[in-house]
Amino acid sequence: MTRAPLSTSSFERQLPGVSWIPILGAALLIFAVFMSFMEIRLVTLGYHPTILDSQASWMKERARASRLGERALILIGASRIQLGIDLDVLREKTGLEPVQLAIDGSASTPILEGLAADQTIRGTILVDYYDHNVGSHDGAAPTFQKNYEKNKHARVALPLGRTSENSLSQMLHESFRVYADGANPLFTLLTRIIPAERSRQYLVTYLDRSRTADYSLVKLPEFYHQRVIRNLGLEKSLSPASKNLNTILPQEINKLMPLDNRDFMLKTQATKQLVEAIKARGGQVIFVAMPSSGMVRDIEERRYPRSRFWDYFTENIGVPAVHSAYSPALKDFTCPDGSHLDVKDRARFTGVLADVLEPILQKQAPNKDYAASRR
Amino acid sequence: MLFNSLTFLIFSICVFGLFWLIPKWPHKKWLLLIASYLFYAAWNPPYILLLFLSTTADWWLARLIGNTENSTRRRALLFCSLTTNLIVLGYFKYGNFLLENFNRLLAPLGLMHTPPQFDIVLPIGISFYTFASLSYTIDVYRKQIRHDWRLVDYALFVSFFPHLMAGPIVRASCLLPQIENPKLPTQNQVGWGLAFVCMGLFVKVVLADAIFAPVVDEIYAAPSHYGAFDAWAGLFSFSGQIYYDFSGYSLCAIGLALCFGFSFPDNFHHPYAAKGFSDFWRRWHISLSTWLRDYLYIPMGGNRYGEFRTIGNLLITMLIGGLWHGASWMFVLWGGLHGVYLFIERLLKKMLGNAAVPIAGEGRLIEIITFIVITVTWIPFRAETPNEAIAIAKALMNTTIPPVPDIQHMIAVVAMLATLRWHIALRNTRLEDIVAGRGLFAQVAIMSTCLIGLFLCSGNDPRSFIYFQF
Repeated sequence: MTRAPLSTSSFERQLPGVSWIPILGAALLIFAVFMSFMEIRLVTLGYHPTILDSQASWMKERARASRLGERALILIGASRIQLGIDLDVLREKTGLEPVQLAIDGSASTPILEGLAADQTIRGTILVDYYDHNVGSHDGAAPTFQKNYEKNKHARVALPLGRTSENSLSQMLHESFRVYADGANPLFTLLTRIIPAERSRQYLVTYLDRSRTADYSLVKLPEFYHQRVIRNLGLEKSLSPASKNLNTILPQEINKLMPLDNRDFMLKTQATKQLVEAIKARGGQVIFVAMPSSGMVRDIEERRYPRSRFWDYFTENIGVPAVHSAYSPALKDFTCPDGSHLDVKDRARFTGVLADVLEPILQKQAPNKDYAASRR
Repeated sequence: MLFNSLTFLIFSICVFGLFWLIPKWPHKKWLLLIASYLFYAAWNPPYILLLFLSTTADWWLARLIGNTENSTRRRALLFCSLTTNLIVLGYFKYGNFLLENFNRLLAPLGLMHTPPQFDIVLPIGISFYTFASLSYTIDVYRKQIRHDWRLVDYALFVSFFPHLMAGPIVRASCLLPQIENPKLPTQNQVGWGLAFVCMGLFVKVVLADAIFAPVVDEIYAAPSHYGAFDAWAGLFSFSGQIYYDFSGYSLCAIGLALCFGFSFPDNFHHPYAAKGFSDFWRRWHISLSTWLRDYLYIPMGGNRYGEFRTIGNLLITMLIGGLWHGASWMFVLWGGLHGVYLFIERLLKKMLGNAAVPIAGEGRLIEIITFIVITVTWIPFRAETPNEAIAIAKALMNTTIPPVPDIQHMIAVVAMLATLRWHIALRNTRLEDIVAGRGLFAQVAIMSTCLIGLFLCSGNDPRSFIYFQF
């Protein structure tokens, strides 16, 4: 037998002798000091670790929505409903069990489609209404829904590698301030620690996937202007530090023209079919347009005039719909950033909304748990 | 399970701890084998069956080859091993590609073939472990290696977790003797191993994923929105991304193997300092290029049967090398272009003599030309469709759109130029010698920079290594 070494054969790697113990020990020490410095600095700035609002936590809540049956009060939509609704108040006022399925920055249609196709969903669904999101499939929702469909029957989620990674990642985020609000340490260092100006943690995510925003901790009106600039799509030409924004931004808003509503009408009809499927098995759907204010609201009114969008929607969707801007009880709530409720208004808004919804819920489900819980 | 994941961190700590706790070498091997199968199962459990069957079949066929001196029988058994491996690889990797192209061929004839939809999931690492396995049966057939290895040793050679997913393609002649003979890692080996893992992860997570990948993704998503400067920034960034992604993986694999006392060959050696394309392939993905040379190019005749045949062999080798990367004509085009470059280089050497394309000594201009051509040739490798590739190529010459004032683009360009400078300056120096040649303070600075860099870029969903898909 011959054993001729081939070209890549290397039976022994020739390694120069290096004293690795002091080198690796010192490197680990420097790393530990650096990490501790960041954590301690964040403690002094008032930060605390938060829950990671991940796909895994969403899927857990989604499975709960199925298990709860008629007792479920499912919230779907984006950040407005996630930040604006106090689940404890909603639970207390309605007697139903709220399930937060809203996904930040994402459309709700894929989730509504999934709920409509799921025979176990027989509860009440509150849909966060945005004119531009009716029928939309933007954002993370399609992926969340697809993965839920794929894994919903699994007792143990496979592959194990991904499951364990999700759990470990969750643990890491919940333990250290450098990961607060889903940030990574580099982002934290560049935006929360190095800036001379004191930064504050204004967003908190809770175990039930609800979130709060404390706008007393952010710099206003810059934060508000940033939101308006983003909604206008002018990030490349304007910054929150630009001068005369109170003059420029209204001028830009006045240039906006109402959007064509033909696609919206088609999508409303498609949404109606989903709603009908849920209604057919005894479920309920209610659309709620959450508050917006100031120039953010002005943009919405310019682009999506009530007569062309909201009125068409309510006349055709076939289920109750409440718009915060047109409901006498809700219209006075304002949003510090123009788009989201502040934590101090959250519980009060939820209470008032529950009162507004009460007759609708009773009318729709006179014999269900809800009615029983109110007696 | 990705090397740049928390799960892998816990996994490797557990395996390393148990490896030291278990006293006997045979038991240590069993531990590594079970750990390797668990590592693979963490991605897709059913496919460990495929890995096991492929391993067992090759081990058994190699034993049969080794047990007979009858040349016809030996050849038949080798043929059996080659076809089994290539059919499995072909089905999983090229099944859909072949069907698509078959349909395209039928379409002009007015025939419409609607095949059933196969939702084939490509087993990760199949190209790597198939090539490693093939090299074993071919070497046994050539009588270059023994055939009587124990199944557990052979299974560990194929599945050893550091190289299982994305190489380096370790030859049986390199790893099997190391597995057979008990040899515990030294403190120096473990130290180097940990240092390699840290450096490998650093270049992957910080350079490939955080600095280069966002620019590449942005430019390739909408090439028509960018002018020449940004398109070149995107191109340079991909040169950086692919290099640091794959060399980072290889370095981690080498480091992990060292922690258990095993030596893997180098897979990269400052490739962007190459003087010419044959030099590039001696420095880039060395384990694949030498595999193709030893098991494809030379058996086809290499350069022994005249110029015309040599050129044909070169082109076929590079086209297959391109196709190995994925079931797409874009990869074939990429491989074909490299084949053409090697042919032109060969032609120039013939016409002008070896001095025209020096392999040793100074030759900055050739290094830079080689780098630029290689960078441009990455376009079909990264672009998913010919239209995307054409759009990028057009953007490279579009001077009507001004550069986007984006700091990330600038950082990526500077990082790539620094990489080029580093490769040229250290073209013949091994990483080990670079690190060992520094003082204690610099060594501590290197390692702590790696750890802090990894920490700063942690917390996002880890990106897969690009070469996992191959």
